[in-house]
Amino acid sequence: MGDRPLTADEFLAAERLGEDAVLEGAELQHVFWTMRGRNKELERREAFWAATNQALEAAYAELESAKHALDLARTELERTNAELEQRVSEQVEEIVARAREVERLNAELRLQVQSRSRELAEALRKLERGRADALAPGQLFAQRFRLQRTLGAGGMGVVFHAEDTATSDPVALKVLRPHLNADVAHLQRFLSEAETASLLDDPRLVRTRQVDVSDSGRLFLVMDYIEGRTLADFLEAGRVIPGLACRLAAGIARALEAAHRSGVVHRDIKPRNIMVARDAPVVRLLDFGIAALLSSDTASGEALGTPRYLSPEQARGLPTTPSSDIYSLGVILYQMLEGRLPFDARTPKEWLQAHREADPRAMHAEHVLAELTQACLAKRSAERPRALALAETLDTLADERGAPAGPVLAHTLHQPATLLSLMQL
Amino acid sequence: MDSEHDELEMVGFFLHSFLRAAVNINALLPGDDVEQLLAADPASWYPASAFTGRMDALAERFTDFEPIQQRIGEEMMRLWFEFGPGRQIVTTSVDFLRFQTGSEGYRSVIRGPDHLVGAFDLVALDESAGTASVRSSTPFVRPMERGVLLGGLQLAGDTVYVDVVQDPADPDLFHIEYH
Repeated sequence: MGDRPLTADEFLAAERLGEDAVLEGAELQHVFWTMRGRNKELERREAFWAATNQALEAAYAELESAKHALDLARTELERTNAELEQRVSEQVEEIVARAREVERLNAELRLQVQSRSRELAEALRKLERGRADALAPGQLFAQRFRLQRTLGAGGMGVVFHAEDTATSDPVALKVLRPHLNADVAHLQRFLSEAETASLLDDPRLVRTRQVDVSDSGRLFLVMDYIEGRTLADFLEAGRVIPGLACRLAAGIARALEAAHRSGVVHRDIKPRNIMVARDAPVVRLLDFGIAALLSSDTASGEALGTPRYLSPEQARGLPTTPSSDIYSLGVILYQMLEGRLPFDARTPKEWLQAHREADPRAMHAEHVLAELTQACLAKRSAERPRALALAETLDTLADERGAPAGPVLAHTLHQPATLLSLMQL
Repeated sequence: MDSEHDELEMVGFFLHSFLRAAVNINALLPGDDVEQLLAADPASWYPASAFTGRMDALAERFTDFEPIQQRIGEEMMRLWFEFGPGRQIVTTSVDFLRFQTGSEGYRSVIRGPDHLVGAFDLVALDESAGTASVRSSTPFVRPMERGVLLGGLQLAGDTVYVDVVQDPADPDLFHIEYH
């Protein structure tokens, strides 16, 4: 630079200054203000950029916050989607599993139906070949049962005391008459009901062990053999003393209660289907499901024999309920107390009409017994007592009249000498 | 500015200048319906709310808005000088002071009732000392007017130092120093 002072421009343009560089006067003033001016401008620019950066940071923070919210929403959406997919997948699996199960059950059902149909067809074939062979003690029936003696005979068939040669057990063998070889619908129903009844497990209910068709086409039932007589045998002698009538009716009611509790209705309660055994329980019921073999033509009653014990609803061809059995018990109770049946009817048609419409004949029995009997004979099923309540009332009445019970009753009833004296008034 | 002053109008050119300045300093982005506003006729007059509404929207983006307003004012002057008549009018910084505070300056961009329009008056000038004072009674915000003065005083290129501050006791009074 030399000896002279620097100009302002030289000073500002210099990249380096010598130790002897001088700036003075107006040039110095100029440099001073220029530097100050630049500083001021820098300050203004800094303030501007600070404000701008602040705004940018705020905007960025907002953007970050929005991004975070978006990420959260996206994560939630993905989670929800995954959850939905999982649920849909599970539901699809469940549906497929159920469909497979349904298919399996259908296949099983088809097999069962086919098997049943084959059994039924075989039974029908045998039945079609059925002939009214004379059966007699000593014969071997169905290649298994040795007939011992005839226990009874009626419209439905013959009952034999027989020996199961396979087990040596004594059995009651009921061979049904050929004309009862029913159509497919009745046969199916009978088999179904007999099967249900075979599952009943109560000592008051005589178990049906087997239902089958013999090679000669005879439908038969194998039942437990009970030592004793049917109630019909006892009623042949006439009226029964009230206490004993109550005790026997209570036994029938308790047996009905056991069946009804299992959802089974007998539908053919009559003295011939009631056993009076030689041991306790004294009263036992026979022939569950037999009613299913009967024709639907109950109006004529031709297939029933005499419909003396039918309930009003059965007389009308309506479905039966446990209360229908109670009505039949009411007819038996009336018969025991009065020595006659509640209606003066002669033909099946008259019986059916009487059950439907007529009032029972007036009773001579004690008022309380008559009232209870009339309750059992109510035309409307809902008005009849239930089996258990009826049994308890009858037992109480029997106790009040000093009637024996349990083994004593059984022993007493089967003493030949006392039979008539106890039964007759 | 109070946006309720609907009797005030601004010339389209002023709105253009303001918008362009805001875009140039990145306070406004081109997508912020700027193009729609720039379609306004520069020679026509528009309600002052067209300016104030946009200014209020800008203010929401900045915590410290004053430096931005000041910078807008500076940029508006630069645009006026580079692309408007400024270069022909201003040859010295004193020329700018006289022009801006005269009727061809401020009063050329705003009109309406006098009490609302206000004034931008040069109340003192010492050329040898390089100082001046300007009093504002305009409806414009003071930081932007400070920017206008800062920017305008540097247009001619004859100054190396410019500072404009508001009187602490009288914010409508600007004290100017230039060298």
